[in-house]
Amino acid sequence: MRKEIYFFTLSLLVSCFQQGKSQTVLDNTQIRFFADAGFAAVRDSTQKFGNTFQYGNIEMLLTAQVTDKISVLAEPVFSTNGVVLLNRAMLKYSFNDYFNLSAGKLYVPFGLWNNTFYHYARVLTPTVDNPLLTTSASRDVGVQLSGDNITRARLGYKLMVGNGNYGSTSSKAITYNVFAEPVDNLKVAFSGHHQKIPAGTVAPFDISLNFIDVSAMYMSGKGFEFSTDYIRVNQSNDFTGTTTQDLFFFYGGYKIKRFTPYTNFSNFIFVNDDVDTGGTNNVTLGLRYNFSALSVLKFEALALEADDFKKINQVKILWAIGF
Amino acid sequence: MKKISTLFVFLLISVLLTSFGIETNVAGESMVVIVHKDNPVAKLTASEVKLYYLRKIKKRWPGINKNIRPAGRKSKCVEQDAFYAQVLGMTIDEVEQYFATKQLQNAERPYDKFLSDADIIRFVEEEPGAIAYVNAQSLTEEAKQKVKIVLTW
Repeated sequence: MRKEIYFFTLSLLVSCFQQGKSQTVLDNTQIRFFADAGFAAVRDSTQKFGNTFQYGNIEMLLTAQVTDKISVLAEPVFSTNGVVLLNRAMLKYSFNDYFNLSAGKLYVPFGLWNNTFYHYARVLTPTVDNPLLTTSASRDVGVQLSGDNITRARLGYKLMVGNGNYGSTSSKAITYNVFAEPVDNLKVAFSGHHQKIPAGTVAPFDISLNFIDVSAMYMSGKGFEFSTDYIRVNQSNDFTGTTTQDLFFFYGGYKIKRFTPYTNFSNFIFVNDDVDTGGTNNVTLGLRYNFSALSVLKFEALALEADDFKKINQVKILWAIGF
Repeated sequence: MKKISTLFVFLLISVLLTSFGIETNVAGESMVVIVHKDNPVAKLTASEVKLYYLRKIKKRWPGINKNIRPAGRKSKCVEQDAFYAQVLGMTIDEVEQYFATKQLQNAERPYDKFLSDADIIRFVEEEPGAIAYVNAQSLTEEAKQKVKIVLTW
């Protein structure tokens, strides 16, 4: 009988302890979901017409403040083909405002757009789609040092060392970003990404990749807003020489109550050993309507012109929510 | 039919009167921004409160190096309306969107939400990094010993 009472008391204590612990974890954990659905109609220069309903991925955002200095983020994405992808997983230790250490699968700190809007939470992005260059090779597994709000100019930095996105285990990709917010909501940044891809990884020769980005952004949530990026990509190897790609991207909008008419323009120029080999222009006119903080409807008319393929006109409608 | 219209008009008038009543009751009262009593920060201006509450100039309190933990009311109320409009200069939607973006970008904890001023005061008493707004009337003499008022308006 004594043993039973002892066992019962112990079970009760363990149960209470577990409940208390899980309550604490739950108190410190926040879960959000982001989803979107849309429609796109396309007509190319051969007058071929296509239209499709689209359903975006569902993104789950899990964040937890484990202790005063340690936070955790996990971002699984339930894709439309039934696969669950881990878009991000981050452990962060904050020593102070000027020095934070993050590790895991992170967004590469390149440019401002890629560090502000990210990819799946389209309810928070100003446009239907992200600029072309920010959609590729934007995440990496590695460690990052960061700090912000340094001096009155609110300077900040991010330095990431990662595996890179080309499957190489012998070389590492380095990305840096130095930014400032001299006026509230106005950010300027300079960033770079460097990686050597050894022979045998994606090609039988060594490839050197260098990205440079200069960007500025003003997003106050009121009145005029803009974001602009100039990116230069240099790819060099002993076999084909040096290839340069220049990308310019500009987004501008003006918020009038719940409506935000906007435009964006992007321009790609490909240069191979100083010879201009082609380019792409993309002009979009759009209108965004915010039903509430995390529910938005976007309408876009897009014209894309490329030297080496057809002109494309496109209309896109997207409804995105967060909950 | 006449009865229904009379009832509808009566209900409409009652609702309007009630809502105006709430507005006028609270409009004259003062509001305060409070932090934990051990927080070394002294008086703050409204614009400084905005920067701390939104974790814009600092993410950690100077002096104590504790995470800044903004707290507020869970549902729309006059205290929330007053703080958002007069101190933050933002709408409810803008505040929600701001914290959702920060959570997505840096795993930053959104502001803690509470049902009443009493719950908020209890939170600020216990959490060294807290910053919150409450109606000045909700602060009892006992509570004033455990929290620090940094802004009154």
